[in-house]
Amino acid sequence: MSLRNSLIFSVRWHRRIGLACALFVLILSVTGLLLNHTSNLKLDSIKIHSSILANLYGLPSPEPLALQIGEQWLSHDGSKQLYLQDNVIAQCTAPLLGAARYNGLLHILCQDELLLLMTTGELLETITPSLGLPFDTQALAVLDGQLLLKTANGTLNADLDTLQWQPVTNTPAHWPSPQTPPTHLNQQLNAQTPAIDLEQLMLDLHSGRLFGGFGVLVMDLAAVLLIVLSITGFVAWNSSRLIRKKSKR
Amino acid sequence: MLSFKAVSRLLYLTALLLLAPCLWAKGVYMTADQYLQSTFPNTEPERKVIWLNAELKAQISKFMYRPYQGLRIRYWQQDNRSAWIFEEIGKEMPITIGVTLKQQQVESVKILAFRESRGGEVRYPFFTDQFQGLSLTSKNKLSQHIDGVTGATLSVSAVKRATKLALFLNQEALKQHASKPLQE
Repeated sequence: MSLRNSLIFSVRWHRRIGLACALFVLILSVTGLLLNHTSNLKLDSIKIHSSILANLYGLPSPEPLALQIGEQWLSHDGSKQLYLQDNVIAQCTAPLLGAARYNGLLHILCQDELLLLMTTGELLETITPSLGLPFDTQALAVLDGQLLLKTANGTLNADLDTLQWQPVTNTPAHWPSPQTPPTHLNQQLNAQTPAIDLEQLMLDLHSGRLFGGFGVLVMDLAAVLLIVLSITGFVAWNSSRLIRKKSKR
Repeated sequence: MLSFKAVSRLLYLTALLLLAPCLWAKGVYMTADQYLQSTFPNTEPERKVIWLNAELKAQISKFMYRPYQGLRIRYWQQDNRSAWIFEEIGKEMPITIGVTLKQQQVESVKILAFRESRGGEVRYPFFTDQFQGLSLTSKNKLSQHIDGVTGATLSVSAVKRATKLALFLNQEALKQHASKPLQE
């Protein structure tokens, strides 16, 4: 390729790529600048409440669930926090699937987590699939002195001393399932929905994670385009330099 | 001259190459049962529980750099060997780590499940073999330095914390066993 052709080619692609990634460069530069001064600007203390952002982050729009255990209400804010009446007692991954008192302990079933709490509300233990808790647990109940778990493959008797899960045929007529909490609890749970801090938003905009895996791919592509941009810029500069040198001779 | 199609293909391939390590990192490599069977072949280990009081939890929090939730931790023992399974968060997701101890030293460290998008290199023997034979110092630190893995700093740190926790709890279990029958 002649110097002239090389110059035309690199300038043409430099323009195209420059135009294609202008918006991303702008986003990367602005968010990068802000992130460099995150502590001075105290971005982490600026909280943003937005339903659009909550959707982008996949944060569950507050759909709290609650279950009455005896005279007390156990509720989950739809995100992480578990409450017994008004008190935060533990954290577990939504949704709340069931709860029951058994052997003097409060057993709470969440997504792939079985929490055991003392009567005082103190967390005794969390049993996860890494300790053998079956996947796809759907509900929990106590029947005939047995702690039963409903799974996609049938009902299991949970022996939490030995961590054995035996299939059983006796199933409760009705599995207690969490419901929308009563109004006074619902208001309290909605008020405690977590906000997104500006630092997190800047980080996720910078990396593209705000738009999920696709966003990351786009930002990766923008980064690759920036590399190509620097190459085409260099080639264009070098070609024009050589052409000028040649024409002087 | 390169066509637009060729340039697009090149960029697509580059993006794929950049993303490939992330796609390979995640996975469940071993269930708890498989880990226990491989640790105690042809035998049923004794299931045990260690109870944590406020003092122990405070000590654990110091080297785990976070408050420890829960009052009891399960482990499995056969003669002078014990196996511990922990879930420790690397950056955002829990890593399931199996630590096997012989007396008061690490026999092996295995990554049972890795859920982070990067840092999965910690599951390879070149990293986990470094823990073999390590013990806990009086300051609750590992007895030897562990070489890090580039790009997996937080995962490396999580594995180190889990190993320290296993060694610490094993020590405490031995103390509890020496002073009174272990509570179960």
